[in-house]
Amino acid sequence: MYTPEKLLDKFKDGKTLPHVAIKVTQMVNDEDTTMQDFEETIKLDPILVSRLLRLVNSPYFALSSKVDSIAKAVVFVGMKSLRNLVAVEALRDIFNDSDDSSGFSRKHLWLHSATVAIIADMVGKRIFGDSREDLFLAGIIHDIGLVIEDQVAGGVLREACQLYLAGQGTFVECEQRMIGTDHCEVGYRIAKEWKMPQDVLNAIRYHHNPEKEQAANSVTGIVQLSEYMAGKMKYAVLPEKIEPLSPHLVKHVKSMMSNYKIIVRDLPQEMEKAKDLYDPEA
Amino acid sequence: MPDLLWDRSFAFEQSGEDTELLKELLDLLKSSSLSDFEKIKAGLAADDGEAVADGAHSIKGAAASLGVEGLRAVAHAIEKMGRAGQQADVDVAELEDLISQLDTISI
Amino acid sequence: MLDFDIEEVFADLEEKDYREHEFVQVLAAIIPSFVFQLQKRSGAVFPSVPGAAAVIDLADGIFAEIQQQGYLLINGRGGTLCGINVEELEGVLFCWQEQKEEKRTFCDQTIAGLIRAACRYALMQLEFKDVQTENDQLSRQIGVLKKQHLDLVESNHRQYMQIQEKERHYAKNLESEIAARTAELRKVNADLQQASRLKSEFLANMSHELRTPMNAIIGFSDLLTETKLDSEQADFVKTIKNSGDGLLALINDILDFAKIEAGKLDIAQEVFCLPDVVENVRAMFLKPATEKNIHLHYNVDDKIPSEVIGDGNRLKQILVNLTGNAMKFTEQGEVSITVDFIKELDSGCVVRFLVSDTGIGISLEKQAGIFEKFTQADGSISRNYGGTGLGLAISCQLVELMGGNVFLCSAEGEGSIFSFTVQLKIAPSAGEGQEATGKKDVQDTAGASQRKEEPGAEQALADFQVLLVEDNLVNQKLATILIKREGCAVDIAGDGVQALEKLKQGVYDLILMDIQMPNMDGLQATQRIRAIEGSEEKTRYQGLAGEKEPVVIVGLSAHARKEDEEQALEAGMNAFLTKPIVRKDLIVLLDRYKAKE
Repeated sequence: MYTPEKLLDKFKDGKTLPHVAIKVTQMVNDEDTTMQDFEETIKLDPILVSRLLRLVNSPYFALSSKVDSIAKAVVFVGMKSLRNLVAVEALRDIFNDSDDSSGFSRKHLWLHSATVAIIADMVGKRIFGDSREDLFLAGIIHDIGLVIEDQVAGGVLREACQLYLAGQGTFVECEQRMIGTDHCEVGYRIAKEWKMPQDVLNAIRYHHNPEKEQAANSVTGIVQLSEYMAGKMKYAVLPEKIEPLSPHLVKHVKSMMSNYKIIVRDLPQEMEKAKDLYDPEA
Repeated sequence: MPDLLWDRSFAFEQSGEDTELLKELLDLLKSSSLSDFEKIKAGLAADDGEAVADGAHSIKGAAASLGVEGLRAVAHAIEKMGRAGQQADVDVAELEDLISQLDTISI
Repeated sequence: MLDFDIEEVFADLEEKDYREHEFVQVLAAIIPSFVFQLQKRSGAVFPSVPGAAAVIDLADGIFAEIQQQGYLLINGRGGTLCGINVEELEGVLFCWQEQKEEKRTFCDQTIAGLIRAACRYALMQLEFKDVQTENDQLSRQIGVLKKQHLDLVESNHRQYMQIQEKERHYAKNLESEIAARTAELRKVNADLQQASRLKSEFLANMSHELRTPMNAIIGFSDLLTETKLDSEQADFVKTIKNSGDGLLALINDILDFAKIEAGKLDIAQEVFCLPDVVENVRAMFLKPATEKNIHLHYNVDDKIPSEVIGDGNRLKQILVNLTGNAMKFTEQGEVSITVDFIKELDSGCVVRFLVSDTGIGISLEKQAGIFEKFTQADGSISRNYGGTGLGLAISCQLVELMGGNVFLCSAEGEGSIFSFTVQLKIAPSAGEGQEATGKKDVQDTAGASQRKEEPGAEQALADFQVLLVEDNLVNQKLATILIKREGCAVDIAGDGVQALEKLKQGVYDLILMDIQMPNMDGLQATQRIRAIEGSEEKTRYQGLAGEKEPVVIVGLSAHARKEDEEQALEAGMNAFLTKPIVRKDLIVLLDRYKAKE
């Protein structure tokens, strides 16, 4: 049985978020960070620089002119967007470390996370007029806990999955029973170490929590919604089972049904635009 | 009798070892001292301390240049008294004597 | 990749037949106005129908369907079903049943038409609503983009301001740094200039201070040799003289070196006779050469004009140094000085000097060091052969100042050849008469004491005019003789008044002023003279008019107290001597002021 700390310690022996990514996240939160500081930090990883520039110039941002430097990227898309891209690049490596298809596939999880991220972003913008870039980040990282569990206690995690598929409680309950903790807690802790913003931390910690009522327009709420929708669109973590949405979120969806339908309709297009971000082959 | 106290070597030095010159200078000393002595006497008669002092001063200077220490000292004393207004107390006997002794200097 | 049915996504959440429900709602909303129309046209009266209840189609087949299936089939969008609760229709049906037959047909058609219109309208409404929704969403998206854009602009602006601020801060720092540095540099510069000035002053002072006693030592030893001395004394004097000469040579070397270092050495451009110079150098070393049994040759190229323009003295200095070295380091054989004509130039020529010897030579390793200041080939040499090591360095500097270079060709045990070239201008007309300001009378005596900067040293002596202001005959005579002995001219005045008279008619280099005199004493006279010098009156005094500097007045007094000296200086005297006038002091005094000429 594991405590979250134990899992984390074991995880950190292996792979972890690159130093640049952590630094960048911190810097974005600091108001005094200058463009130059930002540029200099990212420049420490030249491969990252080229990957970032490739993403910035991709259809996802649909910029009219080509961006050829980090400084320009900061001007055109902002530091927060760049932070997201850095996180995407960093997480992509962690997620796609191995390919195990015995009931739990990291690759699948990555696509799920990417989908949730894109949906969350869309919901935020289209339903709530929310310009926050944190939604995307929250979406992409919300299930990081699972990667850690898979890395450190892969066998036990699979057992938990089996338990869940057999209908022995919620997924989190099954995790608790088999592993000793759950992916929300674990994910929360490591994201905290990586200095992620508070909203994102909350989303990770509470995205499976039905008791705490999440406002529909909160990051956590939107992530829950997005997860539900992703599941319904055949991109659940475990495709066979989708956990139900909490009542007040249901109420919200119903009241904005036509809007949500448009989102669903437009999703394939948005996914296509964002292909460069999540495609593991890139 | 007062002594001239002549410093011969000094006088020689001053005249550049020139005996002829030295003789000439000593003669000159004698004659100038005599005339200065007259001045002193006149000064004493007129109770003129300054005149007495001036005359004595002149003798003093010349004597000093040729190393005649005795003459110099006496002249100096008289000069001081003259300057101090004590010319009445001046006794020129010594001075007179020394001046006359200049003839006897042998080179 | 996404494989799903859009409608499926919210199927769990939606009420069944959500779309139809929506449609019915719209329809129901517009029905009351249609019912009203129906009433008007048909004359029938319907009770008001509440809420989402009724769509009435009493056209035949349609109504039958209502009865049978409980549905009313109306063409909804995309072929969906639109359902109504039959029970809700009851109230309406009932009313209709009361109407007459004819009216029914009419009503049927009208109603059908109306309902179709209503449905179309409702459908349009729905579509419109969809478009609205889409629009609203797009608006929100646009709103988001705008906000993001504004955020970016604001953030970029903030960045820009930060950078501006940083640059401004940097510039300000830079400015103050520069200001500080400049101030520092200015100070350093001032210090350096000061140091340089002090050095020059020091040089000037030293030059004088050192030479004066040296000249005295040498001068007196010379005079001494002219007096009656026994052989022992003569020996002593010779030693003193040689030491004096040696010391003076050393001092001159050091001063020259210091001058060169301070960049204050000038190469003269004067007419001199080149062959004479060489001959003089040879003459200098003839005796020691003979003693050492070394042949001393010299040869001057015919092609070189005898009268040339350059610095004869310095050239001689160089040759003396090189020849001296050659002599020093040669035990046997010969030393020769050769002067060759190399080539002609515009108004001059290039001449090469060679000093070669058959001496001990210099090894290759040591050759480089030779030209460095302060070194001789090795330490033992200075012990065995003497010398400061400066001579060669000075010679090289001098040659360089003359536009040439010194070259060395030598091998250990095989002698050495030192050579250098200089550019000399040709004198305008050869054999010009001796001018006091130009031609140097190059003397054939051992170098040291002859190195005075003033031209025509002998003439200076005769030219030196002294005014002796003294009342005592003995002192007059003594001083006159002493002064004349030194080669100066003397005028005599018996007191201050006479002195001033003399100054009206004569020009004097020095005034010896006795302080204690009748009529006008020395202090008064001096004050008077100084006053005249500072006023227009001086034009009436030949001795005071036209002088750049005030005339030199030296006070003579029997009194030797400090106050007396101060008094004299205050009155305007330049210096002070105590009586009795001692020969030595007078000589030193004359020397001092003569040298200043």
